[in-house]
Amino acid sequence: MIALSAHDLMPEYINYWFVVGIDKFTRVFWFFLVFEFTRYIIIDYLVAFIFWLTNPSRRKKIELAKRALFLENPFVSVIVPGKNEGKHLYKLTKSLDEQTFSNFELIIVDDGSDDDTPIIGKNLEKLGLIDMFIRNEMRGGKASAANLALRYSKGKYIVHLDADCSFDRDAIEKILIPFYLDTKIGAVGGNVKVRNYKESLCAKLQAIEYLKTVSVGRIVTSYLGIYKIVSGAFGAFRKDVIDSIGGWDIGPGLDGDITVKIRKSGYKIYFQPDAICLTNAPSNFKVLTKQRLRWDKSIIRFRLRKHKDVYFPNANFNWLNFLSFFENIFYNVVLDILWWIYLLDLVINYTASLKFIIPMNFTLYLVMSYVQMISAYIFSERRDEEKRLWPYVTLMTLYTGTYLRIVRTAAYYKEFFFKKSYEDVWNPYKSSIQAKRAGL
Amino acid sequence: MLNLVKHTNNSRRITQEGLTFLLVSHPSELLKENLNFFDGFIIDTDSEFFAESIITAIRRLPKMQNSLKPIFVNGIYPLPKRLMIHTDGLIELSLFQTYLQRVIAINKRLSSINEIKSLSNEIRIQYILIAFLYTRKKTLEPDTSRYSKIGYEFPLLSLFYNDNEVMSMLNNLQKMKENSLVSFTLLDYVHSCKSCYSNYLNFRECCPKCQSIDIEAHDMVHHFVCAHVGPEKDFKTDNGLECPKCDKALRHIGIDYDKPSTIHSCNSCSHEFQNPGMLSLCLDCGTENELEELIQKAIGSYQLTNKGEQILFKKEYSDLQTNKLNHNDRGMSMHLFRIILEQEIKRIKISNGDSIVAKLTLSMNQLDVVNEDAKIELRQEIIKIVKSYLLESDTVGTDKVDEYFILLPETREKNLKRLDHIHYNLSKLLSHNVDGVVSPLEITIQKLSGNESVNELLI
Repeated sequence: MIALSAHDLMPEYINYWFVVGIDKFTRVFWFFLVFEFTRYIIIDYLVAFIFWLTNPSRRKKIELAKRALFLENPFVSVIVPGKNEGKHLYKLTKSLDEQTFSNFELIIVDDGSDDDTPIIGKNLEKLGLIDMFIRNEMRGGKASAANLALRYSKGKYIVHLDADCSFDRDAIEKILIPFYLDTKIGAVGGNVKVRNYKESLCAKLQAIEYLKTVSVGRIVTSYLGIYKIVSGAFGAFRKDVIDSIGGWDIGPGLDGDITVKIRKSGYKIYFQPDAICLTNAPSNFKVLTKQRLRWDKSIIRFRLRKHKDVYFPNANFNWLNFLSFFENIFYNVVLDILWWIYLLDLVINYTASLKFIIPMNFTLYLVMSYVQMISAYIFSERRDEEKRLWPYVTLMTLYTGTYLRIVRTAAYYKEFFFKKSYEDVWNPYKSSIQAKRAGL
Repeated sequence: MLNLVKHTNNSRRITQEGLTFLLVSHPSELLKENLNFFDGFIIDTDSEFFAESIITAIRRLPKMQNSLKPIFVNGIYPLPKRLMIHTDGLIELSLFQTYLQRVIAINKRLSSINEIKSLSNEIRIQYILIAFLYTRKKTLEPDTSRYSKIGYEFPLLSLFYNDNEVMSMLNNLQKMKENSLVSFTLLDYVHSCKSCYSNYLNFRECCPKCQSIDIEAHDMVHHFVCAHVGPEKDFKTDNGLECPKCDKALRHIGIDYDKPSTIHSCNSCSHEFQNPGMLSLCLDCGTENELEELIQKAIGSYQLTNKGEQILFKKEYSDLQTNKLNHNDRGMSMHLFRIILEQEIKRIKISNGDSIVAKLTLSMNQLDVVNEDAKIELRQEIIKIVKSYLLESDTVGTDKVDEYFILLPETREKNLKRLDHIHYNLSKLLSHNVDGVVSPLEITIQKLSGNESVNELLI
């Protein structure tokens, strides 16, 4: 009988790395070890550990904040700007009807819809399911629609929603609580999850991505004080703060932009993982690519151009804002460029070893994806439902590591050299051209 | 040759080719004459009031052979259109003979039809109208009139209904249409006050929250460059328009800004809204109507059908009376119910049987403001629902929309499931349809022993 050693059981490409030693391993996988592993495993788990340690005291504070919220029972304005969203409105009103916090008005702005939205909206307003339905005959873009709702909202807090979202029964209550934790909190982001993950592979991959980057990623950045984007699908704002900064500016990427503006005016941004909102993600890669091109272009437009003052020492300089931007730009733009350099490095210097490097790289990212998924599992409140996603984590290396990187690179290139975001049909031309001229 | 004969009793007659006309300038003149003698009438007064009284008096004469005789108006005293429609037109006395053929034709047709027998007023009017259309070979065309509550007058028909009865007039026409006596061509829709049926209404936009009419409209302004949107007043400065968000001047519509919509604000309650409500104030009775509450009625012309024409030559009026049958839907009248109940009490006394009288009462304040037609419709609907749960032998009596008596012969108290069903379903239906009423229905029962007095039972 031949005795099998551990090495015999391992694939050849793994044995190879045992043979060549740690130095070469570090040299070849520097990209993974220095950036990805450190940021997404070490820091995430460190924060998760601290989170676990501080959980009792945080729960206590949240309980007190909840009492303060219900004691004051502030009037809240829920605003829903959108175009051609009529078909979602009735469900939305029913979802909001179930909320544990009920002292709110619902304002819907129809931004030049060309379907039945005006008829549906007016009817729902007449039935008393919507407090105010405002119809703009001419489309002005999402920012103008949100600003219009803001102009007529009377609440102390503004909750901004997308019409196609639905909410946990306590979502509005949960998203308001952080305002009672710290008076310097100017905005709170809700936890957006994918509702239609059963629809397609594309939606499943996004569901995993949302769990990892939106849920866990934002818990970590929020904890570190560098949380950078309050989702437009579900976010809450202090009315006085949002009024003082003039509301939303022209997008695309207006969610991130307004978050920056609030940070710059001296307020903190908080991520509330317990305030759950479910949304429909694009169910095919064509639509997803368009969406991501738009999102990624906005990073260049807003973080590198419009708000570039954050990087320079001036009277308003703030280290956390700087770090927030730095983390965002570094992990998106810089690492994206570095990744291509890294690929060149491998191709030029390790051509002969590529047959060992590529599978190993995939293995590392696969393991990391599952380790990250465990952290998402730890933080999640829908663990059983999300178990269905676990088999698809194997594809995440291709999805985030390859597909999304290519889309991101294309977006950065288009925006950096050609300012393509101003041509995006997402915004009406009349607004985009003015924003381009003004350098916004 | 025209013979104008002045009689000693002050009446004036025109006789031409054997036809005699009475020239009438005051309604009292009609009383002095034997109207059977005349072939037609000529109104000869410049007083509208007298002319109207004369026309009404003639057309409402009990004897149809007289009431439908031709009425002409002397051409030198033309009357307004609202009165002319009830006549056979103007007449030039100098050209009198040119009208004679028409008079002969009308009177010939008139003499060929049966005189109306004792019928209800509603059916009598139907019959007279049919005769009028037949003798004139014309279509009943409504005419706009600001004197009418519904804005339209119908030839002849309007003379039989006073101002408060316009809906009855339209309903009567509707019944004629349903019975295929006339065919209908739609010309217009009128909207009338829920309370008095007048369509002299003043429509105003109002605040949907407090219903105040003190509201103002503002243009919305969208500043392209900073995406700020608000009412124009937010942008107005002494120098023109300036954005409150970015302080830039708004110079050029379409380039700097646009006006995507308008918004209203209420000066009474400060509510801001885009879609104002609409109220219509009845200028006759002062009732505020919401648009959905207005009563819509179709106005059109009515053409006599062959079936309608045949009615005039029949001995029976069964076609006219078919609607009578539908009155069963309104339930038994309380007069009749009382008689049946008395009989049932007597029967129980002898037979010691088990019979029950139930009283069903509705408590809805909303009924106070509902007009009579709507009450009748509601009553019919309720009776229909009630009857659907009852046995053939049960009887429902009612005279009011909010009170119904049900006689359940040979029914023991433990067998009253049908009343439970009525209570459950009717309560549910009414509370769904009437805001603010939780349980609008009450049913009380009384077992008959044979010693009760009917009056006590029907309190």
